[in-house]
Amino acid sequence: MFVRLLGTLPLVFALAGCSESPVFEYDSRPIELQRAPTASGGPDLGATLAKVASGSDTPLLVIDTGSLLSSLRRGVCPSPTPEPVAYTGDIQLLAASDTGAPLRASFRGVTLLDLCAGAVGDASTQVAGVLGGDILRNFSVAFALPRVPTPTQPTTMTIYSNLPASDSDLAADGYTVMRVSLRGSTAAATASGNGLPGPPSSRMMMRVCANPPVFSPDGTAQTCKTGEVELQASGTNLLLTLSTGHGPLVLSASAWQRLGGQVPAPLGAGEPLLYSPLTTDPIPAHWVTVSRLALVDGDSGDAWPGACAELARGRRIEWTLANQNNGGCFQPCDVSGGVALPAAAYLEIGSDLPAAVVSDASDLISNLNEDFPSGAQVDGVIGAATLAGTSFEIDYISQPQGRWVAACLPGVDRQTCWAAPRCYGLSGSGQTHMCFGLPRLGLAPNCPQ
Amino acid sequence: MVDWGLRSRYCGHLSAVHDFNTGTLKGFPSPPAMVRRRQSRRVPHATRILITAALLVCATPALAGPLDDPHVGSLGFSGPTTGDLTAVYWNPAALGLLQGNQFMFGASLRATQVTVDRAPIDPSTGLPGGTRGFPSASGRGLEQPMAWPPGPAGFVGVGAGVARRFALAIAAYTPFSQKLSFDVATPTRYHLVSVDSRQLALVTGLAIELTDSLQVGIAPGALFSYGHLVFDQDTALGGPSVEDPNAAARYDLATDGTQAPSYFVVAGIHFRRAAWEVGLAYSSAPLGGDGTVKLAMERSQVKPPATAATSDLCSAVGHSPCVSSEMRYRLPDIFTAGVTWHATPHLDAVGIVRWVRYGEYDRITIRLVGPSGNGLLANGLTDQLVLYRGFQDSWDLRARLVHAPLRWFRWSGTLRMETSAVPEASVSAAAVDGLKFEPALATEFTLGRHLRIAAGYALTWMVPVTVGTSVFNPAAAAACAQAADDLSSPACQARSAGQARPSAAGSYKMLRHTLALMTTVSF
Repeated sequence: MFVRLLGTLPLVFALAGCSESPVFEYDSRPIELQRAPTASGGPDLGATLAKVASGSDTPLLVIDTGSLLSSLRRGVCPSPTPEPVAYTGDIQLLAASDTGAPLRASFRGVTLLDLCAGAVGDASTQVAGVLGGDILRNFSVAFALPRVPTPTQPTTMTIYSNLPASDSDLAADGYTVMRVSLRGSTAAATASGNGLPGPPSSRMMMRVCANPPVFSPDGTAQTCKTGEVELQASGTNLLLTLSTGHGPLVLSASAWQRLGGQVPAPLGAGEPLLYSPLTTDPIPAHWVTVSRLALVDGDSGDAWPGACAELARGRRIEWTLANQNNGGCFQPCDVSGGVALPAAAYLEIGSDLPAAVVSDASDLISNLNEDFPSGAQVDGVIGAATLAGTSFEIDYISQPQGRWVAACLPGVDRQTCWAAPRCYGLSGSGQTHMCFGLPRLGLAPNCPQ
Repeated sequence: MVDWGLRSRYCGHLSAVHDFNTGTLKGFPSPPAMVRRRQSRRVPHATRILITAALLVCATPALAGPLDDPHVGSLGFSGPTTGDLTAVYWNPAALGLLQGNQFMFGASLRATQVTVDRAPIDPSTGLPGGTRGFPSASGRGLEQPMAWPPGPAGFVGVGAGVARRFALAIAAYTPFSQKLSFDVATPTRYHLVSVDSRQLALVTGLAIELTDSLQVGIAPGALFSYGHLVFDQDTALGGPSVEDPNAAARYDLATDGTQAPSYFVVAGIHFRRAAWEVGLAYSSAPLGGDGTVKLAMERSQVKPPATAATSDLCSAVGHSPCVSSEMRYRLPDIFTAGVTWHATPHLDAVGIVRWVRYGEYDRITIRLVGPSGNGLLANGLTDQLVLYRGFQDSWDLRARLVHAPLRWFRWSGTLRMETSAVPEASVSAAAVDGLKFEPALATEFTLGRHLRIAAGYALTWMVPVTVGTSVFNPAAAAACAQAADDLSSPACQARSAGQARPSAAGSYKMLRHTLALMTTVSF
């Protein structure tokens, strides 16, 4: 629904962004959320939904980390007047619980767009607006997305003012910590070319390895000679945006083809449409499954071998540590200067994740790539259903990059969710470390070249 | 919590703009110079005495409050019109009165005793008025500068007059501190077991003499914070077993040494005319971020209650401490005014008023992060705490006579009165304050041409405070839960403000002895 807005965004922010000081009220306790269907007829594990006070009504509001802007419809839909209109208004966020709709957070004096937000998940799940990244980025926002939401373990969102722990402390406490780029700020300026400021950066770009093989530290060791780190990688590298306003994994057709999938023509014929908070109209989609997904900490620098190579290295290092008492040793490609390299943090989720394949020319994929530097390509969206069984916190406050801090919810098995904090290598025989949920271990040897 | 006034980030700036003009009236001579100064005779003595008395009486009573050190520098001689190195704190413009080079080192010993007699509570609700009584709780705090991290209650500075019209100085002192400890099983545990909070200021000062009678000064500084706070959280609040020790989780939060500094500035003017000196100064709250101090509490521990599934949060991750936390609070800015009247060559009358804007110090917010999996939330422990403080602005008024009968000896007598920084209903063991009176005596000896040694003693007595209706309402937690955490309900508003804690009704007494020693070397 926001694609049509890009050209007008600078003016929106120039006019509305600098007038008032927003006032935020929240209590940093979990806010119970509903879930939209992942697709028509799908389970209610899709987009995260709260309610919002709108006159005497309490319509649904989608919480979307992938939307750059927030909106709240003031009138009827469809609108009798041209939309969108930017205004300064309030979002009174209500919990979407079975016991009522209590006020759980208040965002007053914020810039909102008045437009018909449409549907998310399926056609029947109409929302009155979007709580987007422009507001969420003032906080550190935690989500708990159980695989099967129940009254005792519901889907929740918690708003915090900050996340105080350092990356290393969080890793020591068992969290997967990823430094992620926040994107989106230059989209409007680029689109309009008028030089006015666009919406703030709030989209989290995740480096992902799709369809990696199943791994167990009890399996056989993977050998890797010096210089073979990328050669030994399995899976497909992707760049995806985290969006809690979507349910399934969404992939561009080209990304799906890189995974070895087939794209029917016409795409999505006879299949359910994808309802996205980022587009006005539902999108034709081809529905598939992706066996596994690993979100890997890292950057896109020249020296970075890619998400799948980092994942393979992390698994080799885990195998070595788990088996170091039985002769396990670090593979030559994982050693530099005689010292084992650190294993990057990753969160692996499976299995058979539902995914919607959409055209590269769709409004959704175009929107995601609007602000991206030439040469890079955003391949799609990680939706809320993809992350079922996890809890994570998006630390927008952290500088210069945002942080994504994740863990698996209790009771979830390794093949469904596995959080591997960064494992720092040891440089001396007197040192010990705890990694991959293993007991405290000393220095493991390096394998011969 | 409420984030007030967060300006839209689209504009690229925040709203925290500190108004920065204060002034200090300009001032008066350092003690030896004062004695030499020619006195005006244009105003009759009686009139001057009346004016001085009126100034002292009409000014609102002064505050130092539970965090503020009212005796930075020496006890009994320093103030906004005093031309020694303590001017870095009191009024940088008065640095312009420095003659030659100076080094000052001072230390205080401050012993505080607090007695809390909690009112009986109803064991089923936790509200005052029941049958469950408590023994008297006694809290003690001894502050002295010989500690690490440094302070509180110390002062060290060095400075010099430069080229007649300038003076430069650098000094370290502790403008804010709080230290108090109760027994581990104290009835005050839900508000405070112990606190040790220090804000060490490292400040450089510059004064410029604009005219013979008018000087201005500025002293930007860095504030290094240290904190250690221990209290209990009643995890069964609102249930049938209120204040059950078995349901008490202990939060022991501490910084790892001093923290990266926040920055502040002191500015002032000093005016001198005939026998009168006037000083005005403004000391800012930490600049930027709405004056908020953010302390990374890297040495934090949370001990789950006996009723929790685990007794050690850290066992699963194999290292301790395993909890990270950050504490946020605001510090006040301070306006200071002082008048000195050199009544005779040997006698000065001094009036000082300080307005400490404690109204900003309304709460302490704490965010904690524990181990994943079986961490804080899994054990029913909250990871976000708000400790209500609810301070109000306070006023500190002091009247002082300084008599120098000999060239090498002077003494002073000061009577200080300070209004409460804490409204009666908000008083708790963590924030004990009331109307205070403080007589103080100080003497100073000049030894040779270069050395002065001053010593002083002050006794601070707080008018006992009886809290009948406390803002702390243990029933608010249950009422808020019953309202499905609806923030618009009064109970949830109280919980958000940190008032959903066990009652603090009762009587509070406080007595403080301060012994100070200051050495000044002129060279």
